[in-house]
Amino acid sequence: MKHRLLYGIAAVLALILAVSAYFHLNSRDSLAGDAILLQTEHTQFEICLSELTLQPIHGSRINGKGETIPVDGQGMTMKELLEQYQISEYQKINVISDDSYSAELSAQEAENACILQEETGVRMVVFGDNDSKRSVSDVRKIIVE
Amino acid sequence: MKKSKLTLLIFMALCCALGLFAKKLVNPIANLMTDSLHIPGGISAGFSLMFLVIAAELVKHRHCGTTMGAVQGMLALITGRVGSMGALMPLGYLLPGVVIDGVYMLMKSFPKEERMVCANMAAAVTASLTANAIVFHLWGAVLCLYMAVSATSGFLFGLLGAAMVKRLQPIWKQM
Repeated sequence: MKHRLLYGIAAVLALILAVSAYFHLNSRDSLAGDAILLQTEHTQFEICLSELTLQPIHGSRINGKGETIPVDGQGMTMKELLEQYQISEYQKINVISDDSYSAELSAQEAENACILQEETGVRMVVFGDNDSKRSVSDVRKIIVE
Repeated sequence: MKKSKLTLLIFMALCCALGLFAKKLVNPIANLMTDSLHIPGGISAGFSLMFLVIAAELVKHRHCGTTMGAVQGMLALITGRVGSMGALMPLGYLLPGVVIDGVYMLMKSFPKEERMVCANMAAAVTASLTANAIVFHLWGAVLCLYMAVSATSGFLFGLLGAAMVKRLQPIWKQM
């Protein structure tokens, strides 16, 4: 058989793809609509940002191309969000998007980080960052440690 | 007839530019697929690296991949297309180029199709690993899926690259 190596690689790839897709898609938290899962060491809450009292947020962020994008919307700081759920003692916060991209915040940075309601979902912006690494779109999970 | 150095350099430059900018063409479809799998990417790298593999196959210069990867990295820096990788972006282009050269060195005696597919697959996985180490920090099942998607895209675009080389070779011989 010609190109036996290619057929072998294709078979192995298909198997790994199927198994890893099965495990990844089944390990995801099932959340309603654009709800966010707020998880601490002992408990977890399902948050719907539109049901909370939001304030106008203005500022700017850097996108992936290095351009400055104005931020203008409704949201709240990460610190305020955590306070609403009586979470006051923490060392770091991990914000995870729908595509598993994650960004880490320290406790001090919770005041500069904002959670914003966008048309396509929820975005986290860290004001003062000079790159787009911690601008997380479509936020689905916040892990507080 | 031996090709002039200028012809080779022009071809390599063309492949560099195609690799760098053609990514935009497949991004909308790639995003549809990665969104449904809930992973941050891994498809368009296989397409963009295909042009480096095509050049490596036709030019047959020992350091073709590394040279082109370095040039792409510099171009990305100069044009400001650094994305979330920031100043480390050139690494994301250079390492896959080095891997292409490595695969070509190891698979000299293999048929062209197998060599191109393996080079594209290894380069795509390297690009994804670099992005994961610098930006995504994924682990577990999602990392495994991300790598499998990159490898599959590298495999499929490697086959496409091999088909393109088959068509390009008669023209290449006349040049």
